[in-house]
Amino acid sequence: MEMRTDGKTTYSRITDGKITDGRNWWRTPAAVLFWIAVWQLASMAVGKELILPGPVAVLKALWSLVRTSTFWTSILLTVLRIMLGYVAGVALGCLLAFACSTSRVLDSLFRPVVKTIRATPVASFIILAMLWMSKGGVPVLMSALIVAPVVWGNLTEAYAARDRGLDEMAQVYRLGRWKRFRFILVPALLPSLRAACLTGLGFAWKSGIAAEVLSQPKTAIGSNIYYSKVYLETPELFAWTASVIALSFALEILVRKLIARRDPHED
Amino acid sequence: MKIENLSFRYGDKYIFRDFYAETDSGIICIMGPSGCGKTTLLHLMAGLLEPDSGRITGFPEKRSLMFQEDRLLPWLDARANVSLVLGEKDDPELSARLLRELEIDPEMDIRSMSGGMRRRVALARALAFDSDALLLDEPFKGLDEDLMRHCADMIRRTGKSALVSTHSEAEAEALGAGILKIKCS
Repeated sequence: MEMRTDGKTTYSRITDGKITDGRNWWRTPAAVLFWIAVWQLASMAVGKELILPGPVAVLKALWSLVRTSTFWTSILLTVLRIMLGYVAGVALGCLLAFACSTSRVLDSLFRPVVKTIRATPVASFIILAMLWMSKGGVPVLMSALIVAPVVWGNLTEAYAARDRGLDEMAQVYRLGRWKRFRFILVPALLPSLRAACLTGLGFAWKSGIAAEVLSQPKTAIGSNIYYSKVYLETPELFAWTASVIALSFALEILVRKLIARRDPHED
Repeated sequence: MKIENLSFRYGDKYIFRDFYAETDSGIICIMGPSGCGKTTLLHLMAGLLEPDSGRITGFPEKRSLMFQEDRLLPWLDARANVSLVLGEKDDPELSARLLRELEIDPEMDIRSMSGGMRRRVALARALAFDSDALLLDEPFKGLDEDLMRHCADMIRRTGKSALVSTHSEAEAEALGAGILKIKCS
């Protein structure tokens, strides 16, 4: 956000499509504090840490966790598994979209498969994957399976809706395949790919953690969430969940930066 | 150029039915009311459409087409839009030279251009392409008279055969063109 002031008026500018106002910087922290207060009051009303621990108990549990090496190795391995699946899912989605958009036969072949994958409950896939592969591989496969259809859907729709006039222009000026791909197709599809990458990240993260909870790899956030539930350590359960949320935000910021527009002329 | 028994239709609607025309080579302006098939004729000549029957002869084979809509790539600047159609053997500075001659900054972002500026970039692209003939669909739309005459002069100086769709006799006169009038049936 950029803010200037001339002593009388505070100017604000539009950032990421939102109008930001220099006078309202306190709103988000205030909202967070408000909900923490609500959480504290609810916890006091319930009166049982086992059912709903308060923010202080969760902070204490989190502080205990961050001082253990298990916490950090769990985070590292979970992020590695999910990001591996995410990258594989994006690549698979791109390949499938390319295949379906360029060949009617391949489209007829793959479209029903991708649609079936999209409609199948994640839990069914997790249980099946647990029968087929090692525990550590299940979250990778789940993240990939969830992300690929999102990328495929966005790219095939963008390809179908592309400006056909530019194809005619390429035909008239006898542009080669590489020029058509690099200068016409890729820039036209890139906004949809970016959107799919951001949407897919959230899906990959949630399905990856769910897969870890069910498959319980040796060192993983999901396994720790499961153990917290089994041993009725509710503050730890909340602390692990808070870590997942923080990691999800951090990864989204990272991916946003990685796929941010670089070319000033690019749409 | 000779157009013999040309027929073309969109669905059931005939745009041309046994159309015949014969003109001298050089620059020819096609004039006629909107919807009578000027753009269709240019697209037929560019090979974007296939006629149902008939043939066009006596017009050079390698043709560049300036579309009625600019069909520029908004994610590229003016120079890159023009350079896109250059071959490996073409002078890489040709695009910048043409754009400057048309009073366009080669580095300018397409999205910040006015309609007239975009027309000139599209014209520069058509002129830069290594063709033997030009097909120009309303090339001077959005240009003031001085710029129109300047562009017409550049087109004339290429020495290429050209078929130009226009509504204006002043444009035909600036191009020193023969006129082919077509009527709606």
